[in-house]
Amino acid sequence: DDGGEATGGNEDVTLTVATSQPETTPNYYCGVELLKERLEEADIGFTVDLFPASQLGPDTERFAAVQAGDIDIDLQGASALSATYEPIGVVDAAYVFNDVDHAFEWIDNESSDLFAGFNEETGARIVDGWFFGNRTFTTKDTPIESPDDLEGLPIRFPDSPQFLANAEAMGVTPVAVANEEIYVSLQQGIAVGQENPIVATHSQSFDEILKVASLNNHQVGIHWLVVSEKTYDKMSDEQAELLEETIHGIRAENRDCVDEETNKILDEYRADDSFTVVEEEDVDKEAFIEKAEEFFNSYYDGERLELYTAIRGMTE
Amino acid sequence: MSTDDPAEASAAYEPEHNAPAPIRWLSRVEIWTGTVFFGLLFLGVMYQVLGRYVPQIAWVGAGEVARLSMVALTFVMAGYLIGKNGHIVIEVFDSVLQGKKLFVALRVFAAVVMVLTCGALAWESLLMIEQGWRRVSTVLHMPLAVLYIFALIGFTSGIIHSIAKIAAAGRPEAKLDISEMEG
Amino acid sequence: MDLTIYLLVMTALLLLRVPVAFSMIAASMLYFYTNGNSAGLAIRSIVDGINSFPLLAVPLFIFVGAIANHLGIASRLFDFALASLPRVRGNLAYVNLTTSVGFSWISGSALADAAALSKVQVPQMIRQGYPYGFAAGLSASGSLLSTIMPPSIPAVLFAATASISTGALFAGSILPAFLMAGGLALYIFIWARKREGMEGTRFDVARFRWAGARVIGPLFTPVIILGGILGGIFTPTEGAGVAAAYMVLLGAFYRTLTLKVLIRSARETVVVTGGILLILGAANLMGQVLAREQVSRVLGKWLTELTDNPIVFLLVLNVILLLLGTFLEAPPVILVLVPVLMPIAAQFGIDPVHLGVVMILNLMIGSLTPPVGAVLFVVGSITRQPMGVVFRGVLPFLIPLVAVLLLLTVFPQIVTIVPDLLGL
Ligand code: NA
Ligand code: NA
Repeated sequence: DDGGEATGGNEDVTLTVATSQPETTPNYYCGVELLKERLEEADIGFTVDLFPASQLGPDTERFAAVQAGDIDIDLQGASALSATYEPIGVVDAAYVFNDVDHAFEWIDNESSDLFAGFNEETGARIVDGWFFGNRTFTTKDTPIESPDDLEGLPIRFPDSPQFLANAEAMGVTPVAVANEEIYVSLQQGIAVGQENPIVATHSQSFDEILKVASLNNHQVGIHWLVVSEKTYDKMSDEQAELLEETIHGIRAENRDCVDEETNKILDEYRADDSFTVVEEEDVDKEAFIEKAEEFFNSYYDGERLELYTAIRGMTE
Repeated sequence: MSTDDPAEASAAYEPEHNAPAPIRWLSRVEIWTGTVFFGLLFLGVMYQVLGRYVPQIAWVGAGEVARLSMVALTFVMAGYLIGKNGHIVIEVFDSVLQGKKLFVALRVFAAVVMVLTCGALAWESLLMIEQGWRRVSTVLHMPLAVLYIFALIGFTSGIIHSIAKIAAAGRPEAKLDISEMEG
Repeated sequence: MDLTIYLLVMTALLLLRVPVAFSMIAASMLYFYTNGNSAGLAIRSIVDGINSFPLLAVPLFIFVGAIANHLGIASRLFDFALASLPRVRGNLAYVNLTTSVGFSWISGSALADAAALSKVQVPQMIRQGYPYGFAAGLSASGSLLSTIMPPSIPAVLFAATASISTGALFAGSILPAFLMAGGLALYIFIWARKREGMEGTRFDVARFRWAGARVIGPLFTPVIILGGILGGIFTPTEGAGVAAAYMVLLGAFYRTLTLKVLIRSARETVVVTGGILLILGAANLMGQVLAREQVSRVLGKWLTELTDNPIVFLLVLNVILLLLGTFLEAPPVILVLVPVLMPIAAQFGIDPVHLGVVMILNLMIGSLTPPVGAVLFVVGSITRQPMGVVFRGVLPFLIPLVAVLLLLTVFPQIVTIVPDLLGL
């Protein structure tokens, strides 16, 4: 690089980009790595340093660092963000979105109020959301086709209020196990299943133990592209515009990449006799959605209920 | 180990007798607070195990109580351990310099670094207390600022103990007996 | 501030008697402030380093050790080993080693082991004509077993930092621990061969029964810990809590654990834990600096250019760790280096459990060497001898320990076979 020289009116800017995702997942190699390539190739002063695999700390700490300007861009789940800005937790509610298209449609047309409130409250902007897979149940030996199948099954859920509410909404009694101990607790039978996108289930090797993947798709997994307000202060208008444009541009490619990787893993399961895949069409999705709606309509109130009903209302 | 003799065992963690009364009281409060946090930590872990087998009483917050107690314990003991020379120090030059003026200078230098570092940590804790009322812990919804109050206490106590050490740099240093402490 | 200056500042502070935790914190805060990072980043990173569920096992295992000590479990194990070993030359030395093996199943910290065992055994051995150096050296080296044999605090730290299964690392450590015991026994055998009059007493059934009954309770602890984890009753971290609860019950049963002793054990635990946990928080802060400086990537590139052979990589790593271990304790090195080393080890195809056992044994050998050797310090202060004298006694025992380290490095199967058999 030109080392401090301004390039066409743009100051040199180094962006610190962090994510919890390891380098082997689509959101790294079809996501932040593309962002780095494209911003640097544009030659308008960008240098991008990538810090995958929670190298810069756990989710909530990284978001605090985004607010303070110590991290420029981070990929965050809504549940983690809700520790700082509670309403956003709603977009992680079980079956709040019917599918990815519904989620993207909401982002593009209906999200501005929520994001403005978020920005005002936190000093960080949500630029877009990248898909990272539908969260879905994987169990030792129980196929999940309807909410009834979940009754009495000890299933591990992350211990954040929104995820625990999701468990309740679907009628699951969640098992409290720290993230670091999921594998061993699945192995020893403390929990007989967990919920994650297939890509994550595979990258954390849970599928060495869990042999039934039920594609009930209860939650559209989205990583929100959170950019620090302090980062906007150091970028020129041209740079800020390119950054946002590049983030938006990657969304579709990233989604294809996630779908491709998910299908690749699922095809391996389908070809393997020791695995069972409960296909999407064999799941009574209507029953799940009905149960979840009934729960959340009484669980939420005020601002969160408004947001929830607005998102659900898009499907009518 | 000679722990059957209470006088001998407790000599290791009772405040030094030459320390001023307020510092002795501070140390006493710190170690009792730390012990209470250890109790919470222990109960939190045990409650999590219990809850798995008695689902009626299961509570997902138990693990968080244990974790946050551990953080609070660490901070609340930071100043105490500075006062008791309980933090691990690399004593490479000690045997060579023992009794020399340079050794006193070295101890003053280390104590000054401690005052500055504890000062910076206490200041950062204060900032986090100011900002931390909106950020809450995941299950209990406890404002994280509460955690930093213990950090502020621990590091402020660290400043006080370190200043006391500058004054006492000429006298021999009392050692916290690891063998007694570690059990 | 760049990486070199950062490391120099930290080393200087360490050498100038600033406590380890605060040397790491001071240098890291300077790094963040001079690089324009915000105030608050440091204290939050320290909190994150401590706020981790698996780390709860550290205070709990320390508590187990503290109670075990107050219950006099070391002398119970010693009496039992003495009653069960036949009349062989060097009998008391084997008794010492056997006691270490027994204690290692209960304790997860070498310091607890070194303190408890050297107090009981070194005077006994001297009374029977063993030289001080041999007795102290054996007690010091034997105490390392506690950190290899499960439960082990360094293993808990490694598993938490590397995000691997604590159960698998525990299982992988069992065979290496017995190999160490075997190596030390071999050295005792060679040492005692030339010496007369070092036989023990005749075997006595009544005494054996009496001593045996007194160790059943304590030796049930590892059964609870490992059985509970492998049987799916609780997770490894919860196992530490259950072990502590069991110790409290055992103490109540023996009627030696009064409320006063219980509170004293808790207070000892708090004092020891406070120091260790602050170092762990500081290590996380330092890890943030190394991450931002992309140390893992740079070091990984350098190492992969140097060799593509995993064994050569591990040998190079062993030399570096042995050097670091001479003046740093295991916990901060594990917390700082594991995130740096894991991706590199993955490139070389090294099993993380294998890396863990090699790294822990290596760093624990460092606690037997000056200038900073926690085990030397504890044995020296309990037996009232200078560290240098203890170290001279330890020196010959380093030969079997380093030999076992090399064996483990070259033959990963020694580590991986047990977890593989258990399906971990
Ligand atoms: Na052990
Ligand atoms: Na050493």
